[in-house]
Amino acid sequence: METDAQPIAQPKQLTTIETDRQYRVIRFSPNAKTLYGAGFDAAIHRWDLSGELPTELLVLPGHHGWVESLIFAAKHNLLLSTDSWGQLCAWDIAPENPRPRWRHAEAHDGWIRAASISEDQTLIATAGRDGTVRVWSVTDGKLLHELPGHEHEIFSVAVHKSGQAAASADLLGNLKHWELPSGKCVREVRLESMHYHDRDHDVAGLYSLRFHDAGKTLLCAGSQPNLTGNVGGIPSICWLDWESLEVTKTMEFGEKKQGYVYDYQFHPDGYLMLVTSGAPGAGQFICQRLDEEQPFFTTTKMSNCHSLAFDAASNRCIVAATNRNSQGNGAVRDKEGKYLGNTSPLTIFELPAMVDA
Amino acid sequence: MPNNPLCNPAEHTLSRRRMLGAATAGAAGLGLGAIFQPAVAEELSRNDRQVLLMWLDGGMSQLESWDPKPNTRFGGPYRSIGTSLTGVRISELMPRMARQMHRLAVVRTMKTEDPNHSSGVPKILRGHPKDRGVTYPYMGSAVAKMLGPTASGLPPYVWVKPGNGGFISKHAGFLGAKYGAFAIGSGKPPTNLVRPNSISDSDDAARQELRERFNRRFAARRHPGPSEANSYVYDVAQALMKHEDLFDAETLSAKDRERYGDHDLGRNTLLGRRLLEAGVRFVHVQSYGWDTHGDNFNAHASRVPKVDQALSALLDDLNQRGMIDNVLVIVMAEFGRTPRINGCVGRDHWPNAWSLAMAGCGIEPGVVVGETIADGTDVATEPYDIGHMFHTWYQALGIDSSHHEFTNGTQPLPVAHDDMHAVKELLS
Amino acid sequence: MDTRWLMFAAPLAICSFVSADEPLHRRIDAQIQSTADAQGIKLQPPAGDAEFVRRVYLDLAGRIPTADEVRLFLADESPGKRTTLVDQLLAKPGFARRMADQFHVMLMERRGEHEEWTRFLRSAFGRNAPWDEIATAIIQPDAEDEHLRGAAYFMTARLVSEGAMADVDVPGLTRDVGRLLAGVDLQCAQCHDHLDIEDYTQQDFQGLHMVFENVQVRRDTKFPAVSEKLMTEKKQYMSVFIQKPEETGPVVPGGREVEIVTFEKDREYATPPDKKKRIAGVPKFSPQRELAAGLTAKDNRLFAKNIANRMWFAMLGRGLVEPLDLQHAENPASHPELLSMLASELAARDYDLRWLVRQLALSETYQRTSLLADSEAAPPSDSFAVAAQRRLSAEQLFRSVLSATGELSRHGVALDAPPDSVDAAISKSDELKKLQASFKKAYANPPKEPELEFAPTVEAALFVMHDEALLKLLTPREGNLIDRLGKMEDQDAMIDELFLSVLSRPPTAEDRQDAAAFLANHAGERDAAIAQLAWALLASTEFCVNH
Repeated sequence: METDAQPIAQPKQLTTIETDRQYRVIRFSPNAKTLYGAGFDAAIHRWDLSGELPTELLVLPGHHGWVESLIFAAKHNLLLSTDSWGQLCAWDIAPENPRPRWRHAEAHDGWIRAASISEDQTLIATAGRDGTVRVWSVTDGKLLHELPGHEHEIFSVAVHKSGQAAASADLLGNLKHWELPSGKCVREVRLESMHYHDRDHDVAGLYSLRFHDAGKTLLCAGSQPNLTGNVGGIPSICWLDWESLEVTKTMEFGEKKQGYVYDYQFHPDGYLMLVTSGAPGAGQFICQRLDEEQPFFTTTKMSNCHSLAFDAASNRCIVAATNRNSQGNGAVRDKEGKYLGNTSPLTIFELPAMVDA
Repeated sequence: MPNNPLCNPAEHTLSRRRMLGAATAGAAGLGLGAIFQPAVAEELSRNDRQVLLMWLDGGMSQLESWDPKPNTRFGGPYRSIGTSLTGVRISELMPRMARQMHRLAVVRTMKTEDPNHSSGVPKILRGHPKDRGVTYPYMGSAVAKMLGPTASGLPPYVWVKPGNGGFISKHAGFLGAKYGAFAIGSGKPPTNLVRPNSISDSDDAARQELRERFNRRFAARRHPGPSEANSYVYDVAQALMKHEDLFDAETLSAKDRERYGDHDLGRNTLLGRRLLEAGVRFVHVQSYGWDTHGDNFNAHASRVPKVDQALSALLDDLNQRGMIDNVLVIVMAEFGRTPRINGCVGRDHWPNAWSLAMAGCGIEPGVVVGETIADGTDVATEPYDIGHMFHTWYQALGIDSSHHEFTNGTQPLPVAHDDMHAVKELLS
Repeated sequence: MDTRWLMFAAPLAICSFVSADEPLHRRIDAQIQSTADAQGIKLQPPAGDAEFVRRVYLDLAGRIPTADEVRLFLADESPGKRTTLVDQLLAKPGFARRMADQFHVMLMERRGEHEEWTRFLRSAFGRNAPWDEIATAIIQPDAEDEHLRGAAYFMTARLVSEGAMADVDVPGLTRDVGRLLAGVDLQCAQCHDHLDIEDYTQQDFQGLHMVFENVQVRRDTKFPAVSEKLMTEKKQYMSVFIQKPEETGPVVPGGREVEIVTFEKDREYATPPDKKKRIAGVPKFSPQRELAAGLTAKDNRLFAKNIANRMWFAMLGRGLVEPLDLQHAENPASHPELLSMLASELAARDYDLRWLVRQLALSETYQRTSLLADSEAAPPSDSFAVAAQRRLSAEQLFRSVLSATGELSRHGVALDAPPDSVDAAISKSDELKKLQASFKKAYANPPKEPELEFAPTVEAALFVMHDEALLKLLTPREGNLIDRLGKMEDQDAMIDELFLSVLSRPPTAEDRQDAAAFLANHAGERDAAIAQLAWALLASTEFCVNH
């Protein structure tokens, strides 16, 4: 019998690049010729993608602890990076070996958990353990606003498309609306489903904020956590109506062992690409259209996926996952007796051909 | 013993006999605490030494606490901070303890055997002695046995824990159930602590006196153990009733509550201090949920500051009240956590090179014993097992751990691992 | 047979003093006597009648005797009256209930209760089912038989997840099967051969463990039930010390490795699985069946000795082998020949537990007094020279308190009523149901802690001192003890009745004096004073232990 349904085009897994360390974030450079990655080793790594195989370039040193944000300001040829010791650094990426254009070694007291750049690339907001949001000028690093007021560690921040507002959310899921430039907190709401408390342990569920839909919606991504000790929770994205601050939709991705939405991107065709990491070995790469209940693509073959880099020009994405058997008690050593760490294999996917507008 | 020039065999025999005597003598008619007659009272009664053990069940990460390795591959996101001890740094998650390091002794080279919770917890809490086919007591039961209750008549070994209270006899091992732990759950008074109004003071005294009279007569020609044990629990029950205020949060100052922290660990540590003041010999403060296989760093950001807060408040109070010379404080878990960071950003079980801390009675303040290698994946200096710590702690309490023995029936048993010894640098 | 277990198969050594034709209880006494003689230990004389009657009721009926039962026994002058009483008690339903309660505590270690399990135990002991049958029902539960199927609770109660991080504790089940059915605690042989006990090898653990790794809890039944998966291959394992791969088939404790029988593909099942209906299927080769058969085989000495030792413990308060679950060559019994004899005889009698209990109860060893000789130190407990003061279970205490305080009469049930009638009375009264739960809470150990020795707790003391429902039993209410005593005008008779009801013996002269003085001091409030007296007796050690 004939059917009208076309087979749904699926992302195609191309190849996996093995690495020798763990990456918390990977991003394509604006020209997509370089892949940037950073994680637990206080450095920014780069791969040249122009050849057949990626080749590693010199690392960008100078950070401490963990580097978790890599944000490009293409207009200014800048890469903005943050680390867990409180440093915010703007790298001039025009030269072959990028150099800091400006840096604040103590932009915050301790861990910068989140950073967000305005659409016009003039402002970058940062926030973290010290409970304060700071807004900086992208080009020269000048501190424009200091927004104290969260009583707990801040996990996420977003600058509104208008550049006139910012949102930040903390450990307990308290979300604040900051008016710029007055620097006043004008509204607050609590997303209780994105926080869990048990046995002296607060578990944050709201890991990322991002404005969407011309600023009408604030996407609150992460998890609805329900377990301490081990990661447990349903990976979720809540759609918060910016005007009413009401949750209009919650997208859930898998069962509770899948944990958190760690990273996501929108494809120009309008669908969502996201990666999750949960219990040991549990990882998903999911593609789902916003108006559909179910993803059109899910793979669970990769363990604990933490980042997703997307390049529209080549219509490809790269998923940073974790090696198999990353969990284990006691000392895991190789044959020479060397203590083994974990790694982030990078898997490249070719995405379905774009719909011709 | 033969290697110890200070050991006088005659003295040793004497103290052994004294101890055996305590186990079997216990003539009828001894009231309060008869069965807990301290083993070698003369040697030990110099003062009323007490213990508070803060137990971080599941395993606190040494890297996010006592032995940070910042800016290394496995070091995690946090910074280290300087402390009141020159050259010693600890995790930024413990700012208050950093100011109190001069009061603390830390061991950074714990190397123990068992990476599992279910068998590891009892092994550590028993000091993991040589296996002689008997079940050793937990440290609390062992101290209850060796030092006995204080004059307060309160249970010598009390657990303060979230959840339910009750009596945990299995901690006592071969010492027998009576040395088990008396557990107070969520700071709530034990069930039936309060006497119904229908019974007056004098009625209660009269019936208790009768009960004791019948007990004495029954025990006169029988093995006295059961009657003593039975009388003892009634004595403890009555001693506890005199301390109803311990279980009444209203009697706490708001300042104390704030200083220790409004969380399970803070509240339970504060109750622990009050139990020490009331005269409990060994207080075990239990904190659950440290098994951070996932999300280790956020978990430690949430948890370690609570240890920092409660522990520093406790040390302040013990110092201020002049109790620190008599109270041994120990902070530990069954193991630490792996340097390797797993896929769910957690750390797994790590008996290979972990840290614990202690302070107070008999302990040299302001020392850090041992070093781990640069990336924290092994010990760099002499490793210590829990047996070394048991010798150290017992000696800090005035118990000669290399000579003193338990008896199980007629079998003498060393109180701590017989191939191990106290760590001298830790003893004051 | 594995040679390691040869010592357990040592031929029965017949004690030289007593012929093998003598009843077992005489031979028990001869063994105890000869060992005591050799050690220069003097055995204490027999218990008095009052001491005996209380002890035997607690052991065989699960409660203290009523005042009338005590009077009757004390008045009986026939020479064989103890034997007669033992036989009477063994024939009553109270004995089956006592055995069911006792085995429940022993096998479940307070993990929980389940009506199917209760039915299984009560039905099994109701018909005096042989122990090998009971053990078989536990290892290989028969879901088709509604009286036997509840035995699966032994496994299903252990195959539960205990929190999000904890795996289902299959090794714990393996360990408990070894401990409770064979008297060997193999826990420390899970990852390597036992470090200190040569007899316990990693193969023993792994070979037993694979049987239970192959078991699944059934989800398609409302009652506890398990199914087995196919087992086609030996289990690979490795010692954490010697990293050399080893393999084994199922191993029976005290027996041997079982050969795995394989079948052609698609012919492995006696009843094939049905995935749609979620029916697991029944494999032709059943490791559970092999384990049950091997464990209960007549020549399995560990199995026989374990139950003999546990029954000895139940009646005497101390095992011949201690701890009960550490049978091995270097931990010999206090009386090796005696244990061997008990095990052999029990196996030869087809594991008739009632027979064994009768023999134990008739022995002088059991019937010895708990009183020490004047001015002498207590003899070592493993000489059995004096009766032990034994722990009473929460069940025994509750039933005894109901009887002592006359609470049953108040509910229209005779104090000596059979267990079913008592259950019925309890189920009709919220007050009694609550009190029953309170007794368990106050006197039962926490889950997984075996109840072995008398271990009074502060909680239990506070319960006896302050629990209002318990204290209510000591207020005069129509038909109860205090009511009855209050109406007795003769003070001596009243004191007699009090002591006989609570302590199952007449008062001594001193007791009488104390009681009279107390009553005189509280002359204005006689009922209250009687209640205080009764409370002091209930709270006394004498009431709380089986002595």
